Amino acid sequence: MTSRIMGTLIVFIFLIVPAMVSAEDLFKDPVTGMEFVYVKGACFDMGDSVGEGDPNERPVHEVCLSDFYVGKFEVTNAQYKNFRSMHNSGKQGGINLDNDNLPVVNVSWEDADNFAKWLSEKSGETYRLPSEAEWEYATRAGSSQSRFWGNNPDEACKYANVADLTAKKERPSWTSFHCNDGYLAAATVGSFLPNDFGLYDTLGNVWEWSQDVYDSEAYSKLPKQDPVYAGQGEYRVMRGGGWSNGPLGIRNSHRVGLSPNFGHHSLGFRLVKTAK
Amino acid sequence: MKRKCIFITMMPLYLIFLSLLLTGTAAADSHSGFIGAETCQECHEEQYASYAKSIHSRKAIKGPASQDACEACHGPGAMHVEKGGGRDVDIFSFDSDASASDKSSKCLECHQKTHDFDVWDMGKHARNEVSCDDCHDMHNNASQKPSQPEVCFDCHRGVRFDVSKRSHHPILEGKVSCSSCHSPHGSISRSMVKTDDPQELCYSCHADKRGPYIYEHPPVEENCMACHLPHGSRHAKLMAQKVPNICQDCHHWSRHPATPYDGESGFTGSGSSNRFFGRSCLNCHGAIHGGNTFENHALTR
Repeated sequence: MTSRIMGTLIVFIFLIVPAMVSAEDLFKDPVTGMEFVYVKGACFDMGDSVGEGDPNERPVHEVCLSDFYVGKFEVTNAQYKNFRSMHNSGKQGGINLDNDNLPVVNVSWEDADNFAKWLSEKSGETYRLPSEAEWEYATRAGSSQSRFWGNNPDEACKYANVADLTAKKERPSWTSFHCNDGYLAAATVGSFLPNDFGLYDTLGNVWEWSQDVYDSEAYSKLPKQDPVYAGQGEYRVMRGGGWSNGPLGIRNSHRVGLSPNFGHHSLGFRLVKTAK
Repeated sequence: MKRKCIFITMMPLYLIFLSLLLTGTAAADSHSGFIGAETCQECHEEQYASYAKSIHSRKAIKGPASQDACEACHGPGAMHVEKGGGRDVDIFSFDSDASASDKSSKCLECHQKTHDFDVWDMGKHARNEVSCDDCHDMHNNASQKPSQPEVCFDCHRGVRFDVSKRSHHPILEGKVSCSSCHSPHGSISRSMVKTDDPQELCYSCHADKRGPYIYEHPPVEENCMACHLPHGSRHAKLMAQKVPNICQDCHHWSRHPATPYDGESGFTGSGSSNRFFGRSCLNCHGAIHGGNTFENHALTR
């Protein structure tokens, strides 16, 4: 009798509870099928808390965010082609980057922003690019270390598609992680382990555009609550690193400014949805 | 004894091996961090295409192509790539906030080997924070942007105004250029002209004014610019003032010519003077730069 009760309890814990959580915390866009994970608003320390980053990642400062939904995966070629059917993500050293389930690349910030606006209109939801703060909070998923899995770069290949020993064979001059992820270029979204929020490829695979205008000193200028830098600036911020980047580029707090009309072979995006 | 002999025999070989090993390691270390132009090209396609067309990409010259291509000027790019690029992220960028001297020093690593740059540091351009890329487009055949004289006029606006006057050196017409007279890459002379003595520079074209003369006009020997403006003037022959006024700066009116040529004694005054007609003083003193005619100390024709 006791064992039957225990068995029922185990089934409840492992099958029923996750199903209940999924039902509440996931949102599926009806137009593209993109999945979004609910992120409860909270406060966290944003910036280079480990001390290995660039000056533009400092000072570490407390940021508080409202609730939001964030894309579980990077936007794929198939999803993006609902918007621009003629888009081609191109090739990289003979590897096709245009397969349906690969992340869309060679998109400018303007392209990404326009996709969010188009999808918002189509679906009646409010989609946009994540602010830097939203992106970093979602990526960290509670971690205060360099990467959401910890500080050890050699564990990268379980969690992220990065410049690895596979890439090192082709590009010996690149600085790589000392592990093997098996991919030379982009991987199908969701091929690696997710972070604690259930988000895939937040670090590695492809860079992701954020909403903020780039300012190297933005962290000294922004308010605490829901910060987005919208001041003067030539560039927009991209985050997360991609398959061609080594340890210094694959970090929670790393931020790079890039011209908004520039796109390249390892730069894509994911969307967020405003929580109602 | 035998062991000692082997040691003595092997020692030089061991030292040679060790030195080769150390040299190899040092060479590898000094070249670490370079990733090659192929990687740069993947993101900077446009810049690479223009570089590939430029003289800098020719392997026949001792330039970037025979060294580290893009990284010969921009520095090693491995960390830039590792971090995912971005403006000024661990890379030297010529359109950044880098100082003029830092930017120029990149170019001078190769170009200072030519005599043209012997005194770059002493020139006014270097001392006034003008860098090579202010005038040259490195990715477009290192040509000037735009060509002379416009690239000079971007800063020297007063000169643009002067060369547009009715009497001017034929700069706009393309017969002479700014660099016909000036050394933009450095000179120890005033206004960075090409010669220490400006007279010599003028004589390089206006050789007929050089002399030697039996009867010399002292300012001609001393400085052409005592009477002429080099870029342009509203008076004929690039004169600094109209004749006879310029002559009277030195030739006092109390002697010959006895009459002061002011408003009262000009065309309209009560005692009008015929010395305003035609070329004024030069009507008679035509050999103004110097004369070789016997006893023609007044430099008349």
